[in-house]
Amino acid sequence: MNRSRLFQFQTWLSVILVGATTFYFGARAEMIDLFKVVIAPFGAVSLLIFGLFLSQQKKVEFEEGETYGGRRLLRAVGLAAIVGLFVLVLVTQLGSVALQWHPLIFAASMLTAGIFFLSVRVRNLASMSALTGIGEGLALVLLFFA
Amino acid sequence: MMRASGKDKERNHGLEALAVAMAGLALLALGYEGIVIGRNWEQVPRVFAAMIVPVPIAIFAGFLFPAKSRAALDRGQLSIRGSIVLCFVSGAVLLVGGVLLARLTGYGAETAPLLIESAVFSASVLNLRVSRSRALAAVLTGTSIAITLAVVFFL
Repeated sequence: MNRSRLFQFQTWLSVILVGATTFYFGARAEMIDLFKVVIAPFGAVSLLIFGLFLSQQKKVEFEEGETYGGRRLLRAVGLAAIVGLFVLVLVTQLGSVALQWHPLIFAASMLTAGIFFLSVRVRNLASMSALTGIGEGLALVLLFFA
Repeated sequence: MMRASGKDKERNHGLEALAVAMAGLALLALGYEGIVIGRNWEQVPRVFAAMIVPVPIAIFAGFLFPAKSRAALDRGQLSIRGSIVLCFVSGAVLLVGGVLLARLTGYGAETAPLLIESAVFSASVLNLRVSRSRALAAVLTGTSIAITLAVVFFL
């Protein structure tokens, strides 16, 4: 199973987890303001288009079959842990404050746009660590902190 | 059971795939018990979350450590007797520790078996694809048996 396949799995898993967390927090919301809910994703969409416009080069370095050495491995795991902690704290704070659908959809679309940008433009060890951190942080929020 | 696959003709897939299948079956059984028998519809997100927590870590680990060649795999393995000992030791440690933890804190009865079994399943998939390590297989088998005993008899 080569690294680009694993990278694709990780992006799909992170997107599914973003959706699951949004629906988990949103199930407790009562009223739906239709206009705001429809408008909510488009901020993230426009930021994504802007980011894709600015960064035209695609950085893909997967180094198939090569073992990562000690310090590089440690840095990758550390980055994943830091991003995971960040996402955990952020989503826990947001979940206790946002009691309606449109802030949740806004935050979910921002996170999905970030994941999509990483998966299209930057494909290396650092972005794999970041995606692992996002996915793992969201899964831990669903398990312990919600 | 020697079965030649397309890419690597020397790898023996039979027994490792059986271990993966049994861990998957145990995972499905625990999930079934958690959702259907418990009849608690609020627990579904927790069951889903407990099953999914080890998966990003497993994908990341498979990304970080590439698959070794067959020659490198056969060299540094634990002996057969050592791996049987490791199996029993890890099973006993997890059984005693888990039951004590559940009794003392009252925390780990519902979703902890599911979480640990999901970690065992994804680690056994990694053991199949990346590194056929006897020590890892022994620890996973011991853990799985300890969870089964804890759920059936003690918790």
